[in-house]
Parts: sequence; C-alpha cells; structure tokens
Amino acid sequence: MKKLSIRKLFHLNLFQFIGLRHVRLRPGRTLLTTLGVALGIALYVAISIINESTKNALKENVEAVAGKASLSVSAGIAGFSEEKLDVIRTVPGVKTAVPMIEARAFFEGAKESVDGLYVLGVDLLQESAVRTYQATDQKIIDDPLTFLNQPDSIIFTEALAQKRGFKLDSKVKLSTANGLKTFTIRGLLKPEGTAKAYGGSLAIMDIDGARMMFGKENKLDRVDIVPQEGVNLDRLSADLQKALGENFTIETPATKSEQSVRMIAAYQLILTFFSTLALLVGLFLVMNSISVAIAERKKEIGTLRALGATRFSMTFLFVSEIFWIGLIGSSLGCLIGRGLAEKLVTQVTTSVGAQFQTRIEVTHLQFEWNQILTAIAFGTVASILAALFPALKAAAIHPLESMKRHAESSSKEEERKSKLLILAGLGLLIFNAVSMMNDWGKIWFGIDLITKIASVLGSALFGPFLVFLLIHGARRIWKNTRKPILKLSLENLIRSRKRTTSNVMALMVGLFLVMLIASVRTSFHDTLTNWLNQIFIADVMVVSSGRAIMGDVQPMREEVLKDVLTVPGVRPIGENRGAGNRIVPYLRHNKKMMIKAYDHFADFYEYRNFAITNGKPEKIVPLMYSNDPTIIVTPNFLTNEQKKVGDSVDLDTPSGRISFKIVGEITDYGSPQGVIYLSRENYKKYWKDALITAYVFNIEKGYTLEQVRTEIDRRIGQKWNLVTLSNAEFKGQMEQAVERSFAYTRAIELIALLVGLLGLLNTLLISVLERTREIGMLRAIGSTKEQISGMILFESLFQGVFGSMIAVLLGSIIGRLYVQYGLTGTLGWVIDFHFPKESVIQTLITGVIVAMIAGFYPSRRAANLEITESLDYE
Amino acid sequence: MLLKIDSLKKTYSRGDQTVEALKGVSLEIDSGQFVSIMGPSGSGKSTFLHLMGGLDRPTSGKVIFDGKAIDSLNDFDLSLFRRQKLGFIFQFFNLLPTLSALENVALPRLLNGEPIKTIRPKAEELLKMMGLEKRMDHKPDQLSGGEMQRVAIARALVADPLMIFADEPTGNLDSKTGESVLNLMKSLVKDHGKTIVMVTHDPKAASYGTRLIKLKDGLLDSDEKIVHS
Repeated sequence: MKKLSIRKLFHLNLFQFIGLRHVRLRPGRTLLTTLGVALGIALYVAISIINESTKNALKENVEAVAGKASLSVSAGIAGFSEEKLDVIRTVPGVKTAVPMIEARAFFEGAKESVDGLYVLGVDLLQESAVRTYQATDQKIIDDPLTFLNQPDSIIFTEALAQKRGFKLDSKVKLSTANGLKTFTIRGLLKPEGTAKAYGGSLAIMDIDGARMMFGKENKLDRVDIVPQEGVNLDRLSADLQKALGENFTIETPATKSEQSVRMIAAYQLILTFFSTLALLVGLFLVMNSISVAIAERKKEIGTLRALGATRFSMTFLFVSEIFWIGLIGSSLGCLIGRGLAEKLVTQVTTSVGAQFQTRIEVTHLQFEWNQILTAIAFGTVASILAALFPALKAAAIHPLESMKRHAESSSKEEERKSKLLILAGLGLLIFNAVSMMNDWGKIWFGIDLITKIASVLGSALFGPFLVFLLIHGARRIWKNTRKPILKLSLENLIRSRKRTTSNVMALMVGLFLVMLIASVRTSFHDTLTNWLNQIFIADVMVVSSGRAIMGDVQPMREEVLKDVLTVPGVRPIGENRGAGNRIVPYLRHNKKMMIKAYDHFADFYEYRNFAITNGKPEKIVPLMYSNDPTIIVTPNFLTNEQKKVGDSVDLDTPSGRISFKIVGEITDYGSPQGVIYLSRENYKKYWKDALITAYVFNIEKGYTLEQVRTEIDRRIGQKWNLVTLSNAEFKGQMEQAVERSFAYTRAIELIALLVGLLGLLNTLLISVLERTREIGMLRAIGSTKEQISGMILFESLFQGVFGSMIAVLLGSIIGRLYVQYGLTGTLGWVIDFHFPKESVIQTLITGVIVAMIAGFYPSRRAANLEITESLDYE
Repeated sequence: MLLKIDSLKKTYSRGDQTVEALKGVSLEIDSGQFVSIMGPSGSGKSTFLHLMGGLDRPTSGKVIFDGKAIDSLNDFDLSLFRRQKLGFIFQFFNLLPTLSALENVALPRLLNGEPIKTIRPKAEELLKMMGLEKRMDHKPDQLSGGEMQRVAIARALVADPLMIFADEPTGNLDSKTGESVLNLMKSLVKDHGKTIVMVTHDPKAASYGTRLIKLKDGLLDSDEKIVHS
C-alpha cells in the first residue's frame, strides 16, 4: 500500500513508462540537451571555484602573515619610520610589537610576475611571539645567530625551493633595489604557519638585511601586535591611532582579509556576470528543447489527458524528464568545471592581481563536497525552472488534441501569441537598457539578475522578429530567381514561423553572448591601448626585473639614473638629468588606489603626454609641479571622494595627513578605484621614498635601439639588473596583458558557441522530423534528393546568416550599454565603447559554419526518406 | 440509468464568429446499451461524444453520470473520473509509440499509480481476448491497423469502466478489419455487459449497436432501438 502511494505520489509510472522511454528513444537529443546544461554549469562552476579559491588565498595570506597578532600597524607601501616602533611599544596594553619589512624580489632574468617572490624581513629573535616557522633544520629558527651573522642568509619555503630546483645552501641570485645580489639558502620552511602565505612564494630575511637590499633604510612596513591579556582591542586600536597619528592604519587580520576580499569583489562580479549569462544560454537550450519536444508530443499529451492524466501529472512528466537531464548535466558540468577552473585560474588571478596590484597565488582549488552538491542542486533546479514554462504549457494541452489526425494549432492564436512574445521581448530589452542606464542592479541583487535574464530572453524573443524582416527582404530580392529551391526555402521559413523562430533563437542566443563578450573585450582593449599610445611616447623605458606593464617590478635606487646617463646614445631629459617615475599602490578608505609620481623637466612632453581632460596639458600639468602639495586625479577618484577639480583632499602620508589641492583631471587606467598624479619631488618629500619604478629616455640621433640596449647591458645592466624596453615592446606588453586579462572570456565564447550549435542542431533535427510528411509529398511530386537536401541546407544557411547578423546587432547594442553603464558602475573606469569589427566577421562566419554543420545531417536525412513511409508518417 | 444528458449546449468561438455545435440535446443511456450516434458532418456528433466523455465542457446543460454531475467537476476530478470510470477508443488508435502493446493496455491503470505487475494479468487476459497473445511485447509500429485498434479496445477495458466511448473506431480500418472490430465491441456489450457509445458516419457500423441516435444541426433528430434479426 505504501509502495503504491509513493509510486502514485511521484508519478513514477509516468516517468518510467513515458518520460524515460522518450529520453532513451531520442539519445541524440537527450545528449545535446544534457551537454547544454553541462557546459552552462561548467563555466558557472569554474568561475565559482576560481572566485572562492581566490578569496581563500587572499584570506590565507593575511592570516598566515599575521600569525598570532591581533592587530597590525601599517602606513602604505612606502612604509614608516622605525622610530614609531618605540612609540607603539609604549602604548598601554601592547604586550609585544614585532616589526616587519615586506618586499618583492625577482629571480634573475624575470620578465613575468610568476618569477617573483615575497621577501619578509623579520627580527628572528622576536618572531616566535607572533609567527611560527617549521624549518627542516629547526636550529636556524631556534638559534638564529649563525643565520644573522651571515648577511647573505635567506630562508626559502620548501615549495619555492622545489619549484625552482634549489636545495639547502644553494646560491640564489635575486634582483633587489641594489641590483642583482647573491643569497645563500640557509633554511627551508615546511608548509606551515607563515610559510603558507602567497602560495609559498615566500622567503625570510633578517630585517636589517632586507632594509638595505630593498631600499627601506630606517623604515618598517608593518608592526604586528600581541596585546596583553584582557585588553579591549577597540580601545587599544584607538590608543595606537592616537599615539601614531591618523595616517596609520591599525587593523585586525579579519578586517584586513575582508578588505582584500572586498577589493576584488567588483572584478569577481564581472566574472559572475559572464558565467551567469553562459548558464542562462545553457538553460535556454533546455527551454527550447522541452518546447520542441512538447510540440512534437502534443498528440501523445492529448491522449494521456483523455485517458485521465491530470494537468499536474503532465507538468510532472516533463519536469521529471528534465530533472534527470539536469542532474546528469550538472554533475558532468561539475567535472568539466573543475577542469576548466584548473586551466583558467592562473589567467584569472593574474588579471585580478594586475588590476588590484596584488599578487594572488592560488595553490589549491576550493571545491568541497558541499560546493559540488550545491552546484548540482543549483543546475538541476535551474534546469527544472527553465523547463517549467513549457511544461506548464504542456499541462494546458486539451484532451481533444488526441482526436486530431495530426497535431494542429490555430494559426490565428499562434500569431497572436507570437506578436505578444515579440512585444514581451522588446519590453525586456527596454527594461534591460533602462536598468543598466540607471544602475538598478545596485538597488537589489534580484534586479541585477533580472536585468541579465532580460538581456538574453529579450534578445531571444525579439531577435527572431528582426530575422523575419531580413527573410522577407531576401524574398523580395529573390522574387524573380530561377532557382526554385532558393525561393522555396525562404517561403518555408516564413510559413513555418514557429519552427524558424525556434531555430533562430537557438543559434542567436549563443552568438549573442559571443558578441556581448567581444564588445566588452574589444572596448577594454582598444580604450587601454589608445590611451597608452597617446601617453607613452618615449623611445625607451628602463626597469629592473619584473613585469613593467603591471607595475610589478623591483624598484630601483635613484643612482640608476646617473649611471644610465653615462651610456652613449641616451638623450637625457632636462639639463643632463634623467627622469624617473614612482608607481605605488595606495590604500585609502579601504580602496586600493594608485600613486604615480613623475619627475618633470621642460622638455618632458617629448617623453610623455598627459591625458588631461579638464584643459590643456601645458597649462594644467605645471600646476602639479609647484612646491605646494598639488595633485591631478582620475575621474573615479573624484567620484569615490565626491570631490571636484579645485577642491582639496587630505591624504595620509608617512609624514602625516597632508592637504593636497586637486589641480586637474586625467585619464588613467592604473586602478579602478582612482589614480593620483603628483610630482616626484612632492612624493619624495611626503612619502619619504626615493626609489624609482622606471626611467624613460629618448635615443640620440645616429644611434639605434639595439646599440643603446647592448651598451646598457654591457655597462650597467649587470650591476642594476636592468631590462631595456623599446616603446613598441612596452606597448606589446600592454597588448599581451589585456589579452591575458580576457583570455578566460574565450572559454566563455567557445561554450556559448557550442551551446548555440547544439541548440540549432537540436531544433533542425526536430524540424526535419516534423516535416517528414511534407518532404514525402515534395518527393512524390517530383523533387529530387538533391533539391530536398539543398532546400534544408539553404533554410539552415539563411537562418545562420540572418541569425548571426541579428546576434551581432543585439549583442553589440547590449554590449555597448554594458560597457557604458554596467562596467563603469561596477569597475569605476570609464571605458569607451569600441565596435568589435574582427569579432563581427568571426561571428558571421561562425554562424554560417555552425548553421551548415547543424544543417548537414538533417538535410541528408531528409533527402534519404522513403516517399511512401514519409507520407504515412505520424 | 447510467448517463443522463439534460439540455446540453455547446458554442464555439471561431475568430469573430460563434458556432452553435449543440443546441440543447437531452437523453438517457442505460447500462448494457450499445449506442450508435450518427449524423452528417457538422451535426455535432463528435462534440456530443466529447461532452459525454468529459473531454470538453458544455456551454450549458447537465451531464449526470451514475448520479454525479460531471460538468461541474474541476479539471483534476474530471481527469480522475475519465481515468477510473470511462474508456476511450479513438479513430487513429492513439497508442503511445514508445510503449509495447501490453504497456499501452495497462496505461490507464499506470496513470492511476498501480505497479505494472499488478496490472499485467488483466492486460494479458484482455490481449488474449483480443487474439493478440503473441503481440504483447510488440510496439505499435510493428502492429497492423486492426491489431492497433484491438489493443486500443483492450486499453479501454483495463480499468473496468462504466462506459466506453468510441469515436469512429473503424474510420481508419479496411472493411474486413473494421467488421471484426465491431463484432468485438458487440460481444463486449452482449457477453460482458459493457456500455458503449460510438460515433460513426458509417450506417453499417452503426447497425452493430442496440440503439441509434441521429443528430442534425446540433439537435436530436431521432432516437430509435435497433432490432437485430
């Protein structure tokens, strides 16, 4: 009795005898739909894994470096005077205060960020109070005097040593502010405690040695504090702030890690945006697939209803069919997603790191059982939701449908519905535009999701209408053609409105997403490269090891400038002086901004342009070089600070809180949160940092770049570990960086294309099945096999070409809206829209190829149908 | 009295036009009758069958089945009613192509949530009765038209319905096969006490019944007993 109830309750008979049979009867279609779900979920899972893993890596870094400390004191990248350590130690409630230097070093010949490592300069005699280290030879930690007595000592993590092929006592050449220096590995850290930070790309040095090597004499980067027992942390924090001044940041490890996570949240949101769209495209395939299955099984549904199946059980039947497809597709999607995450994680974290001037090392991908189960449940429920609308339509099928010879539909009713759907599509597109322009997504995340869905669904519903306009246009052009197949194909497409709509929708949604992503990528790429071409006009840039374009380079001492000027062929700026710049991250109100400080000389404009937006650069830029504290800032800085040109803003510097006057506005894509330009003189004065990031110069007439490069390498290259980049090479790095930043989007495009292909193949196959009788009739009245296959191929081709054209149109319109409004709102950068010309050609060609591939098998099948059988086909 | 029809009307809207398919038909059907309904195209005979079988709802009037007004049932209850109390035989057989002959027969009880093993004996018995014991595991596309219609008749009987409705059951069969199907239906009434209401345009098919109702222009034209010699 109980068994009977469960069977009845879950309509297991319906699933077992009807649903499952259909799934098995059409393995191709089932596979296509399952793959659609799998691909959509795969990308969603991959991006979720990467986002979670990145967050964890950031949190782990903070926690690993903080150790047992409850508070840490810092004052930005330039650090602060070591005298402040004594001030901290005198604040009541402080039990232990341990100093640290944080620096970035690079291996010899490094050109990439992955060739860098973090060096922590610590006082080993005090470290045990805060951080724990487990070395392979523990003596080095417990009794560090031997280590300290040898100034070339360095401790590597085991992971890093293994990765680079080093052992204990190996000699390692690292680029420092003093040039390339040789260190000896005197200890190896096991992957515990602090050694786990930065994915193990970490080395420990004595604090004094680190100061000297990285140009931080008499400075500290942070002080970690262990409070006395029972001390109120808020109180202690306030006391420290009072004792040190407002320009110091005092925070707990939790706040610091939250801040890091919040910093990259906007970027992660964009990733999620694309992956959600890919998922929506996959779900659209589910919806389309179920809709055509229902159209095909209309008579069967009518029979079941006549025999007493309830409306609910009909909905349940289709939902249970899609439940298994969703479950299997999502499980498969998890597997593919895990693999995809592995492939994409480095690209994504490099891209995030570059934008937020943070190095992120994801050592392990976070994909626990609970995440897997959530993803599977999410994919399954999403598939069910996608199938629900057509399933409810199935439930509404009247039992009288069973009485009809063939499933028919009232053309008037269909026409009315199709008009309504077109209007609904247009309405959704208008909603999408208005929501993006007014940034409604920020009001509530639900509106954001609806806006995304509206872009896909609106295009899917409205796009076919535009395709029909093109088909009608083509019919007019070819009305006198002597090729009857061409004419018949166009007539068929117009006559079978519903079928054409399904086919076009399937292809268009995939291509639409490709175009949308291409619009965003091209706009980013062109805006950034145009900007760089405009501002960077010097012949040569000299940097130390690292990746110049990311600003992730080893800073150099000012003395480098003097040495460079001795090289023949170098045309100095100003009167026998060199011009350098200092580019550093700047944390302000939990926002990671950037400071760019430039030397200035009368002829500097021959080397660098300033993209000033509030006047002529010749008038505005000199204002920045006055002796008073003045700055030029980017629009996103002004928005974040709610300031305008002419206002003053208080900036925290190692010399205290200084009021800077904003004298200009400039375009710069250094940081999405804001970039501050000032003279290097003022930067040195207030930030007490004389290091330089890069040095630019032009080449004297009569010299070639290669001559100058060879001379620099020969004379001073070894001493300072310099890399000489030509203008073109530096811009090439930029191209590469943008390409890399968007490399992951290629995976999304590929998935969208695959889903589009699957969708079109699915609907085309079904449409050939539906048309079996019609094809039989055409064969009976004398059409040749070639004409039949030609007709199906032409239909497919027209749908491919016109579908792609409309996908290009809608994709670039929505792309433009997203670039102009969505991205600016999310990222803070004003990106100009650039039409993705290359992608348009690619999309059109791909659309045609996809249509031809999808049309090939159905056309062969149609041509080979037996005339008598097809006439009798039901 | 098994079925009572009272002033049954049905109006359809087709675009701007309204079509009165049934203009007020009243009659009663007792159990054990084999009622043939005839009439020219557009006379409303199919509509009448749909309303009696709970496949459609009347614009006005009553359909009282076994003392219960089925016209006022909601869709769920009406579905259960069709499943448990009625059997249907369609002109185009309406067998599910994915199911075997036996499973097609079992379908109404499968919809009721019964496991196949409890339905199997009855389904096998009915298929044997139809002379299809060797075709039980065949799919519809492996059966002839006559065989398919016999499977459909077995399906109509599986739930022991109070009444069976047949819509042109021989319309898609050759005359010889049609005859054997009609004989089968006749024996169901005569030997097994079933009640059948059949719509047909074929006078020969109608003559297998025990009562002949003729409709014309949506109204009852005649209602007479058929006397078999």
